[in-house]
Amino acid sequence: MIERIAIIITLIGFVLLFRWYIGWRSRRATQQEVKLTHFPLGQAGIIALYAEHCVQCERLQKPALARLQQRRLDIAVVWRSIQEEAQLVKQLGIMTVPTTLVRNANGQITNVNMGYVNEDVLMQQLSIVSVPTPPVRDPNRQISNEDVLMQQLSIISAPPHCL
Amino acid sequence: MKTFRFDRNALRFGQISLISVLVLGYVLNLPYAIYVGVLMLLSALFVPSWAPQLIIYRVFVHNNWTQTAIYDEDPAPHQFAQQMGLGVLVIGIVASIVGSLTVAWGAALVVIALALLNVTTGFCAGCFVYAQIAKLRSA
Repeated sequence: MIERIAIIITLIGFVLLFRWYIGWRSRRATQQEVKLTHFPLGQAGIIALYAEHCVQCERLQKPALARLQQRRLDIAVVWRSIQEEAQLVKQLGIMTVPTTLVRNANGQITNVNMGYVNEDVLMQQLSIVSVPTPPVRDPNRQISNEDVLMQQLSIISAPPHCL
Repeated sequence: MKTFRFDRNALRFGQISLISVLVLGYVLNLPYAIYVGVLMLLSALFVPSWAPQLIIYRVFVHNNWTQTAIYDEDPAPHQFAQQMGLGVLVIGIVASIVGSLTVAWGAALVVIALALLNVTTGFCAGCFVYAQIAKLRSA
């Protein structure tokens, strides 16, 4: 029985060691500058690496990135096959697919996620590298009820800086 | 692509339950634990509402210890992983019937290791193999 417990502890040890190794490789890959010809210059975003026949890439990561793009219209998402980006895979020590790389506007990698990550995690990582742009007010738009109310409020209560 | 809402914490609880059953069975040398593991995976795949681990999750764990983590996702990759685990455990059962308990426990240890990896890192063994093949091809 002691022998079996020792085998289980060794197995758990190996799994934890592997987990630490993935984390270490991910941390080591960050802060590296990445040049991609297909990535918009000066824009923050995500580089998603995939492989052919990868079910997780197609069925989980792709829809998660589509949902992320609906929430953050200002970021770029580029899908690249790991065969096309052999140099990048070697440079960053990527071990599995899907892998998502969060890139800031200067071209630096700030996060490397080896394996599937959902849009909430990516949103959090992106919030550090790029602040969501507020919706631009269209000068040609028609006056709405909100504008009328704002005008009426300005008469009965002056903003603090006017006092 | 068909997606449906499911609780990721329920999935994780199912994996932890399977690991616990197999580890206990291995440590106490109870080969029937492999049969229990197969039953757990079969019920999770075909009748999730009757899966014992999911009943325990709904009754005791959910709302008491953990919050739900509901996502709209395609269940296919998770089902594929469960089918793989099921396949390996069935090999283990056949080996135990034939009388080769070493092979049976070897199969159970493979399932324990892969399920542990998935729970702790979200690591997908199949994806890792695909990535290595693609890397070799490009080299």
